[in-house]
Amino acid sequence: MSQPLVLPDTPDAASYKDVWTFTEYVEGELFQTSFEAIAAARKIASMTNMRVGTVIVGYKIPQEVIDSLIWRGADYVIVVDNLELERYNPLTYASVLAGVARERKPWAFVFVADDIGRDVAPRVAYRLKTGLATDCIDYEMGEIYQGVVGQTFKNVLAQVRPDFASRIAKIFTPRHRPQISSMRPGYFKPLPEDRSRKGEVVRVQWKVAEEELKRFQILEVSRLPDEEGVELLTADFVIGLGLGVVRRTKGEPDPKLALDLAMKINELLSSRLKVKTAIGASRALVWAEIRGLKDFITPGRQIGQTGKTISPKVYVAAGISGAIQHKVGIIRSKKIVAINTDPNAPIKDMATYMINEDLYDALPKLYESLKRRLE
Amino acid sequence: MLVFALVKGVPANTANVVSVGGILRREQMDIVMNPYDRKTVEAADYLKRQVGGKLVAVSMGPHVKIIPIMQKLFDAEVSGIDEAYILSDRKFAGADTLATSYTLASGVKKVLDIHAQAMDKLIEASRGPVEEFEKLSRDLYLSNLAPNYVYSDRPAVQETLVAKLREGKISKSDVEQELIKLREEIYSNFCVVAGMKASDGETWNTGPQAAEALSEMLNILIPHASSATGLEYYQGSLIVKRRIGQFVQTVRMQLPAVITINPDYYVSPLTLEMRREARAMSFMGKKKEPVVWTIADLNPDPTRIGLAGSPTVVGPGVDLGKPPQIKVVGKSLILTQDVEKFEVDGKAYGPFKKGDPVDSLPDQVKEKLSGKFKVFEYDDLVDELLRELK
Repeated sequence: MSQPLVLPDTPDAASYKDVWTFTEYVEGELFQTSFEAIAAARKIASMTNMRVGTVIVGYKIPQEVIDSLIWRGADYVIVVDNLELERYNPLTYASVLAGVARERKPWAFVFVADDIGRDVAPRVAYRLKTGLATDCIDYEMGEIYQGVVGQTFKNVLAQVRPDFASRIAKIFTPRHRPQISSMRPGYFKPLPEDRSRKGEVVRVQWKVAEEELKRFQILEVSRLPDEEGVELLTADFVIGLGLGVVRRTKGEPDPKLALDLAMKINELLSSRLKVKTAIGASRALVWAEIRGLKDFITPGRQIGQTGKTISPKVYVAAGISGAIQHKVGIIRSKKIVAINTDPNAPIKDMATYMINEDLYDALPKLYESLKRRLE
Repeated sequence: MLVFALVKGVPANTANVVSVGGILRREQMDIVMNPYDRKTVEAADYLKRQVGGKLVAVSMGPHVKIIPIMQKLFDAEVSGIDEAYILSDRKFAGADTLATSYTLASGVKKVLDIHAQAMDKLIEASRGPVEEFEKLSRDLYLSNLAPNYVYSDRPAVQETLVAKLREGKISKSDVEQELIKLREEIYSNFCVVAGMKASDGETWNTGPQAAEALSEMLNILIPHASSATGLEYYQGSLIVKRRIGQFVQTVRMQLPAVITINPDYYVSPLTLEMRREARAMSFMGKKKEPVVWTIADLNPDPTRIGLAGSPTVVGPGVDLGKPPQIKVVGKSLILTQDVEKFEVDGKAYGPFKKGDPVDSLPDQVKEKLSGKFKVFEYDDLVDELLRELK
């Protein structure tokens, strides 16, 4: 049989082993999401009996940063330390990452789906002529039939990502290595720090091509003030506000009042129960930039695909219809209460509880009931 | 400068998506322009007006769906496109980001090649009789393949190469040298602008991978910057501002370059002076008919396009877990006590727990449970939430 006209398989694909992550170390700061990537890699490694390696690129990377990667689950750390790699440059970093991967052949390579991972991973995947599954929320082992070669492949990585067409899609890279993916922050909990863990440190010498520094020249890097809404990530009780705040059934909508009602509930819970609470918003509300809310409902407080992924014990979606982009940000919530005047709003597919009332009525009733029960 | 805008057609309504085996059937859906691409066209237009040149839109997808999108972009009074190329072929379908970026880059390269070939002809003609050179210059100008700098019938543009040659201000060999320079600049001085991501796939991959694909095809290292919030042309390079986590990075990128545009990008106003300078390098105007290119026009490596060129395979989709029993405040009926397993008409029900909803049970079963359920109220909801939180 003649070879079908397809992208050639990665040569020597069977020799690829281990699960790698790319650790983001920028301007002397280790991005904490890198620990989440290591946790994801550990899950993959446990299914495949492989080791976890992580690549860190930068200049004068402190030993405690390297150690912390081992304490959080890496079996070995590949360190590429070079003055010319001090600042993040997609050209130099893509060359380093593609270079070490070509030489050491990891089976899977996990990036973080953030500004840097999304910037550099596509170039690395292109250079290695392999697939890139973005925004993964879980990993499984699976098998897949690939029509163009008429073959079923077993024991390949199922890279699970939200997909609006079928809600969750599994992306496979059956014939190409490494199986590159980016992991959506918020879906893997960093492993607890274990200072007794031992690991190997592999230092790789790297010569940066002049051309790369010339074609992409970094002029300035400045730090932004700390982001708002970070409390959303760790809160146990979250109220999300949506465009329902501008659609009051009786009387004039008063978005500021809606926000105050939500805050009142949160204050009650945090003072009486000592639970961590937070307020977020749907993308529609953030973009609407409503007067009275603008100072508080900022992009940092957006929940959903382009915003934050939350994992509270209870999530109250007040006046949020539930577009799939919002849903992917809340699927890790344990209990979802949907407040919506429309009993058929898409949010109902995910909700445990539904209140088919105007949020201007429902939030005060919820508050009163909480007050009664907490007395 | 040729400024390319990569434009994508996406499903208009994400609730009505037709997908077969994980592959979107764009031909069976209402398709609109990716909302992130509006800023793409604005940014590309800004560059064009700053530097001169023309704005060429390139899109891959079923042409019947993409042509109306392009038509709207042609008709836009401000920030419209000058030319459009639609890469449409069944063999392009089913492409993942690797194959898509390769195909789009092939389209960009073909546009560059067409301009270079036009310039080659002109260089050849510049060595021959002046009248023939003038005629070819005019033809190429009218077909939008040569800029005002070579020939123009606009009164505002004087000093064209043809005019200067006719007036004896420059020699034939001067003209040839100028044309050779223009030809070189076609490949060394272009820019590709794309959306930060598309509203359907949300991958962010196409921009950076198109930079790789073009680097590979043109044998020159092409940088990219994802998610730019600021973009300026400055002395032959681009100054780009973008966000990297908690940092803002300002970079100078050499052309050619690929930039993807963040929705927070805003066009800054141009001065008249800048626009005057840009005029010489501009082209005649809009070619309002989108051009459809199939595989025969692009002649790509068949192992790099469509399904065959895609390393990834999309498995069958899985529904997110739905909570089977939703409890509606003021409506749902819930049990007030635990109930052991029991049978009705030979079918087993239960055991049930206090608080379980009975809404979905058949009427005969509900009858059997009468007196043991009540309406789910705020206090019941709060009790369950507090149990979760404590």
